[in-house]
Amino acid sequence: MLKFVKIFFACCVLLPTFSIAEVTESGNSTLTTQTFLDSRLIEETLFPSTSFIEIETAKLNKKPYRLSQDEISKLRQELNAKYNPEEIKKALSIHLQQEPDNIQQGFVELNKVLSSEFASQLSSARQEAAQANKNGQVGDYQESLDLKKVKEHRFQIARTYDGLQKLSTSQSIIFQQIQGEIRSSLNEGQSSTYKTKDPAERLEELKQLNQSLSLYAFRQIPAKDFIPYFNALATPSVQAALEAYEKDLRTTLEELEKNNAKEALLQEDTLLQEESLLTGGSLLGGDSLLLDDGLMLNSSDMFGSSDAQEKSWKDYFVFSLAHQETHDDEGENPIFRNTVRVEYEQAFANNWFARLDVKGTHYQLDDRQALQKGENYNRGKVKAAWLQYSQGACAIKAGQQSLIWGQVDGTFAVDDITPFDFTEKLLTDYSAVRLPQVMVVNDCFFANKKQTQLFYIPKAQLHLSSHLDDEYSLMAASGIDDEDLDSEWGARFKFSFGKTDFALMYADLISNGPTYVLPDLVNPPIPALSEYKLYGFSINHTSGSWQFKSDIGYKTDQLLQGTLSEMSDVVDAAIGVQYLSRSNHNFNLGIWGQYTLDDEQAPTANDSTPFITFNWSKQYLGDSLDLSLLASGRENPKTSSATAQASYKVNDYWNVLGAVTLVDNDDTVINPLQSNNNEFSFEIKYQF
Amino acid sequence: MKQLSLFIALTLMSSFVVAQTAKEIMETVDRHQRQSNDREFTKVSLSTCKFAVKDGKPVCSEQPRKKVIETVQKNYGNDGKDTKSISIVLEPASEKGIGMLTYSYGDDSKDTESWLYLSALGKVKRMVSGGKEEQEPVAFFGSEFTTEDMENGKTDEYTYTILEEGNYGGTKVWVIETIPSEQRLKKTRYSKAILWVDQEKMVVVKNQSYDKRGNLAKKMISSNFVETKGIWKALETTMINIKDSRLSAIVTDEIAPDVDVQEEFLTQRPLTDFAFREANLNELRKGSIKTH
Repeated sequence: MLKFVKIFFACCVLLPTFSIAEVTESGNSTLTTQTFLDSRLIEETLFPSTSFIEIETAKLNKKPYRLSQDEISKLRQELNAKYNPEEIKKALSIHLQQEPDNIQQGFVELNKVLSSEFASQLSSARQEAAQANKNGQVGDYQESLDLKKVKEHRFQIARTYDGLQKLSTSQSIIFQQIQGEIRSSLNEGQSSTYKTKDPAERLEELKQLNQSLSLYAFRQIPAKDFIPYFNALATPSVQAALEAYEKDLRTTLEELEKNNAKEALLQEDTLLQEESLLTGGSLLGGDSLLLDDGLMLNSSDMFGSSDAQEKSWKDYFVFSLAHQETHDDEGENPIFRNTVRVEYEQAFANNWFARLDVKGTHYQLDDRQALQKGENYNRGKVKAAWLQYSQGACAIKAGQQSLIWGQVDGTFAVDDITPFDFTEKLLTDYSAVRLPQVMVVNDCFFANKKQTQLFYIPKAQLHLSSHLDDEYSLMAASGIDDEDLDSEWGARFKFSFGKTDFALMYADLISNGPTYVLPDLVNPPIPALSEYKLYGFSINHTSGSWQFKSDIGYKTDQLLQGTLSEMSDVVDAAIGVQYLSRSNHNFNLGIWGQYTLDDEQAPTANDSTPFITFNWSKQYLGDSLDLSLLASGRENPKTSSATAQASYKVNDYWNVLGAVTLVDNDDTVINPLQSNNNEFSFEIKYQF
Repeated sequence: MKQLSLFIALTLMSSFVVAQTAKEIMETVDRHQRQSNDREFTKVSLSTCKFAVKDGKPVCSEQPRKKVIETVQKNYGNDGKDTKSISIVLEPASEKGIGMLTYSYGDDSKDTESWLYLSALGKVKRMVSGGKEEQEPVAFFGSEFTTEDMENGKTDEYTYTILEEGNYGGTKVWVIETIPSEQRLKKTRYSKAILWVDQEKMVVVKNQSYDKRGNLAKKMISSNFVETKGIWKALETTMINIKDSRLSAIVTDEIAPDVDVQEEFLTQRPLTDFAFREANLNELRKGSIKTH
């Protein structure tokens, strides 16, 4: 309580006192100890009608609180009689008289600015309230407008009470600096040099200094930081009197509020006006099943008409326009692209569903792909074009599509089916960096616990690294013949026990990227593709805020780089953990490593240290702002990067995104999805 | 002495009856609310904006954000406190196709289970629900409603007091104060709420929530009630965030109460089997009533 009183004293008592002093335009202060201690001013200071009693009584006067004027007057008289302003005034005046005049003047100026800002805010709030009154507003909303600024000020005081012990070091330092500057300026004011200056100039300097300091202080420092400074002026008797005064006043007001609150709950006029304000109709109307149109006007008034309409062709489409830029600190790999994307999906003929997703990209001349090619160009991409049919417990989906297996985000222990499109920049759309293939996928569902999946790809595809020659530039560059690309197929069985999901996988695959092997010891390495079998296992267990997951892939016949076409079986293993904090911060950690099983072949280029990924994300402002941080790296070969990204939905149509990526790689490392330089990326997208 | 004992006994009994009545009212309201969502298909618009007051009415002072969501829900277990629901986002374009399956349980010891269809990856991901204890509520689809505002079946975690009973807008209401238990207080953003309960319909027509400092934080107004088998349901609910001057309104555009929901529809299947999902939804849409 004492702390609160100190704060109350500092913020509600001293500040208004100084604010009422006057400084003439000529620069000569009319403030004297006598005028400063004018009894009327002191009384208003110690019992600040504008900053405490009026607020409280105004609250009481407003519905649902009702207190008669007589009661308010009586309350005030009682309090004034009990705590004699003259005694407090006397205590304060003795103390203040001991201070140099110019310290008082410094405070006057300081608080004049503070009070001026506060008065301005209050005035603005009252204007809003007056307008609200004019518009017929009543009740708590009016109060919230009227007293919003006042409450903010009072909240500072309350915050002091709560947070006094938590005063941070940095805030203390700032405060001490300001204290020092004020003291320094005041000392200077007393020095002989300073006194030789023209009084008007002197005052102006002081005013400017104090104004800048006080403005800075007002904006930067919580009220609590002023406490030690103001406490120096507060005598124990004043503090004690104020403490008792505050306590008694609060108790009395709380009692009165409690007595009046019950009565006010059923004040129909107030509440009905509120309902009218918010719903535009009677709350208790609508007895019939079909609604009264009049009652729905409220939502229309606020958000426009939302009449249910028949579907039009536009409902089946989504259009996206986007511009994307990336710059790195070496100016080596810029991205300048404009894209148009059209998505269409529709159910038809009962049990059929079609989806088409196409994207056209214009690569401007400054873009890294266009620079390679030596000209700007356009390129289309079919991200999805499939037809799905569902019958009984099963569905079959045929056409251009992606198929992704595995549980651990950011790792690829069993995610070998769909290759990557390395020409794309990875921002938020993970589908952008995938290269969909023509395939047939069959899913069968058995209750909610089991699911089987079969897939068949007539002709496998490889990662896409550039648009230089043709769609299969990696093949062209590596000399792999299209005829070498055979079909792929596989199956997965998923099942669940409680909160644990399992998946068993088998696939007959062709590697998505070539391995360089030596045909003999004389000739240079040539690219070759592994044809292998994948035996996979995934598990995922969720418990409260935690999720644990793992993918393990056993892959046969993997070509080993730099060897004489030698092959070995390898194990790809990834483990991950996800944690959702109490305040909904989302954390993900993943570790992924590959291990050659044939010891005789080691060491080879296939051996590397585990790859570690870490991700944090959280949504702010409802779901408007997405912030995320993604870091990943490994020791050998050394690669590490960290991307901080912010994505903001301006409205339902516009989205802007910014990302900064810091990279620290061995120069020998080539990461097709990322440059070896630090990058800044920007994207603006319009969707409708 | 006997008279005094009788007086004390009667006083205690009357207090007990009043306390029971307040809780019983809220249990009935809560049960009705759950029943009103059971076996139901809805298409709702969820609009959110910053507002100003013009001519006595709130109007959006910025372009409102609007989501259109189709939801199918079914209740299970004792008192229908366990629920399975699936929601598909139709609008805005940037979120179209997002699907979410949620299993929630009345038993506090069981975690809510949810699965999200990630359209970019074309796969379903099981979501982490967060700890039952002290998990901070999140915005419901980015609106001013939070997951806490939407939940029910938690009547045991509050104490209830009837503050007043009388006419409100021409209808008899109870005005009931709800105070969270010490345990509940750890995970709620509100220190208390005052509810206006329509005595005839047994629905909350107004709810004022107060923050931890005791200041009015939000007002929720429900209107446009419809009845199905004696259970009333609001077709429009507006949440006004007093502090942030923002509001959200959930307006039910289409509703099909008491529908036959296939068990298989409330599984992960419709998240990826779009043909199956649309075939089922089309049946439900055909039986739904357009509310305006």
